[in-house]
Amino acid sequence: MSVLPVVAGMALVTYLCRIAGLWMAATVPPAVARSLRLVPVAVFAALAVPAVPGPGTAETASRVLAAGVAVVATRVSHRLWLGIAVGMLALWALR
Amino acid sequence: MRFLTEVWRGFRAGVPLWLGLVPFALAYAVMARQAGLAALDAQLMSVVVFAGGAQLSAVGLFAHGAGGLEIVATTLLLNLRHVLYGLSLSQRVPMGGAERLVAAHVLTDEAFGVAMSASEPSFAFFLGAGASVFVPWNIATGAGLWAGQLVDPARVSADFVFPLAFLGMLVLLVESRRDAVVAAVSGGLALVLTHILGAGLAMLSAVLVSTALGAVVGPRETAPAGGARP
Repeated sequence: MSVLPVVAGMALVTYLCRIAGLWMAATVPPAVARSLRLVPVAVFAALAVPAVPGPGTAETASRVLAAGVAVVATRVSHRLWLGIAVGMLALWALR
Repeated sequence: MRFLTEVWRGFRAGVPLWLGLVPFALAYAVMARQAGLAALDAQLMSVVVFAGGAQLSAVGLFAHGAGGLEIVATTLLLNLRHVLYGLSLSQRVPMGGAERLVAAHVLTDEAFGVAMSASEPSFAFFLGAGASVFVPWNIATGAGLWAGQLVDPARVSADFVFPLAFLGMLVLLVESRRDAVVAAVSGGLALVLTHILGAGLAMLSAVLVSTALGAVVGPRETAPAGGARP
């Protein structure tokens, strides 16, 4: 697939979202605001969960376990990089 | 002169956030290479799209062979929250028309958070805060793309960075029981639907169903004043 048109499309919709709010002087209904605020949570979960088991089945158990360790590390430390680092180390140790 | 002082004040206010930005950009760069994107395309995305969550999602979807329209639709969905940021920001920072056009490109979660927590933020201050996100974001993207050539991604299971990065961001975002329920429903649906609909459509349906559910189910707590969290 050609990447450039996709990048252009992404840039366009992102800019439109950003300028829209700056340009308008309006208030959003609370229900809409609430569901918009939930979007990142839903997107990140929908992207992360199917990618945890991995392409094959050989590493699935190790990956699920390492992901659990990473979640705990992030929750405790509140640092994204630390969670990623701990998760990768756990996977290398487990496989 | 006063303008530059204000830019500098905004720039410095953004510096503490670099600790979070740099690993995020590095993860994006590693995943972009993993997905088979050319280094130039990946860097271009950091310059013209300049939205971390959307960029990470896009390279993840590229890796799973999703279509261009699905990727753009996901970007739109993820960045709709910027409409809320813009609404709050335009009430707090006085800006002219041309200034709004410039400010829009550097309106990110981080810059919004910095501006909303500052005392009397001006357009120049916001521009500085935006630059304080834009510059390290792009430098770290470049560094990650370069460093990514040095290791064999398959040998170190580099694709695992992808779920780890999103799980980490998710963990940091989840504040309420409602957030946790939405995350569980969305993740579960995506896992099941991926095999039926493919990665892109599965993600979009999981997000639409779970956020709609999250908005109507449970207690009607009122949204905090000032809009979204940074």
